[in-house]
Amino acid sequence: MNLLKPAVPFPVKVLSVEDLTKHIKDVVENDNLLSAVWVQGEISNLVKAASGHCYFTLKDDKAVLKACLWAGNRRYISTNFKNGDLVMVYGGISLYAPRGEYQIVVTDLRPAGIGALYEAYEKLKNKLQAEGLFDEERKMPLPFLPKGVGVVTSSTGAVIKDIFRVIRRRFRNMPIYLVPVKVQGDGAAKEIVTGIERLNADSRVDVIIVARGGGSLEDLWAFNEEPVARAISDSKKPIISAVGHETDTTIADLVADKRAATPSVAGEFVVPVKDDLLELIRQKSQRLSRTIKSIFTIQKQRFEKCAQCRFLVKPSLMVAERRNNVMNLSRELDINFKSFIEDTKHKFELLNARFMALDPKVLLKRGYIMAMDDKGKVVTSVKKLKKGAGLKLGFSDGYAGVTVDIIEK
Amino acid sequence: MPQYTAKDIAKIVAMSKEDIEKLDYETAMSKLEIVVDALEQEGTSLEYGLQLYSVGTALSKKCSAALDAAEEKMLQLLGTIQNPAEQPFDPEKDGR
Repeated sequence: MNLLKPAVPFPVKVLSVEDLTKHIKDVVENDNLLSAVWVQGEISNLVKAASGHCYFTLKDDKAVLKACLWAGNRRYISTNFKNGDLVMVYGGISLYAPRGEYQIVVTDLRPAGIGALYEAYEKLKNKLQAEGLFDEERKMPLPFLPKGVGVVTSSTGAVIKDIFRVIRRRFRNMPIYLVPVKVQGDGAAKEIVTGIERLNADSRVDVIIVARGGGSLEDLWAFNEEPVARAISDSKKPIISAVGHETDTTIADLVADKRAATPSVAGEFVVPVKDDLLELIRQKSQRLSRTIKSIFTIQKQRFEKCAQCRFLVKPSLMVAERRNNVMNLSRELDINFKSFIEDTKHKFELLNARFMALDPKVLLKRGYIMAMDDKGKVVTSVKKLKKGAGLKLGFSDGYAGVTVDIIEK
Repeated sequence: MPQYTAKDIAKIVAMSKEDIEKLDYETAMSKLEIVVDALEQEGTSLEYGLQLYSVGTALSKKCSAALDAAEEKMLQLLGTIQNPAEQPFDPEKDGR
């Protein structure tokens, strides 16, 4: 054994190529930097497969990096590219074990040098955010039904067609006023600003759509410029932005009162469906008719209840009822007076009967006799009699003189 | 039935025909309800009853006329709602 060689451990633990590759793959694919990175280089060996996948090499003076762009990701990339283009790609490093090669799986690809634009974008975004230009409270509500819709976009292309088609479908006679502008390149921002200002001054318009189709960051750049952001923010009329794809948010989108994912969506935001409104109006009208009819019926019943008051219908009842009262009272008076007389008479008769019962003559008539002494005084006890004394006996129809013969006690 | 006091009725009885003519339906109707209620009260004197009758008749006439006018207007409006005039639509003039 050569002792000068560095020490090598005994080959106790020997990995297979597969195991080692698997380990490297794990390390690489789970690394924070390697799994999500922007890298810049020149495209070479570009192959665009029929499947839609693209394979190429990114290189610079010192190194090369294999790259693949799957068809699924390629669809979302608006930048065109060819061999020799200096680009920046975004993606994660992946290891292909059968060949022992690593490559970057690209999910985004943009022209190189665009980094400066991103910086400018971030700077302006932060500045305007600090000013509060993106604040929810600043956002104006969209009119329920605008008099007219202003559109700032290119007069050619799918965008204006989509907007027209959607608005016409929803509200066929909604006036649309287009200010055709350049939406990319030199002077685009200025034209967009002028368009917004013109529509602000146009009294026929009360909502504005600022739109552009999808494109690269450079294509959309006018919508990331401060004058456009200011014009949108200063607009007295609500502005809907429909710029680029949903994934790329421009400054204009952030400042706008409402953001639409596509021009068609902007059309939907800006006008209600006329037929729905007509139906709503029809329903409300019916309800209105029913309500007014029922209010009227209630009032009519209320009035009739009063109008049917018998005294109002026939005021003579007021007199008649009172006359009736008078007659009733008078009759009562008669009846009461008669019964009073009867009562009195009856009382007298009773008294009289009692009185009559006390009359001695009546008793004499019934066979009783009255004894009187010689002085004419009524004798009521035998004790007052003496044998041989004279008694005068009174009958109902005369007197008789007798002598007391026997006294029994 | 609204609550009312003897003073309220006295005020109503004191109203002239012109005063009544100026009332809106709701006011006239409330006053009529009071008058009718008072008229139907047992203790109302004949003299007062006749005054109530006189003002009640005027109020009733006023309410009836107001209802007639309202009904006519209502029918007219209902006719408009049910047969709205078609708006002319010119696709050439509208739009751009």
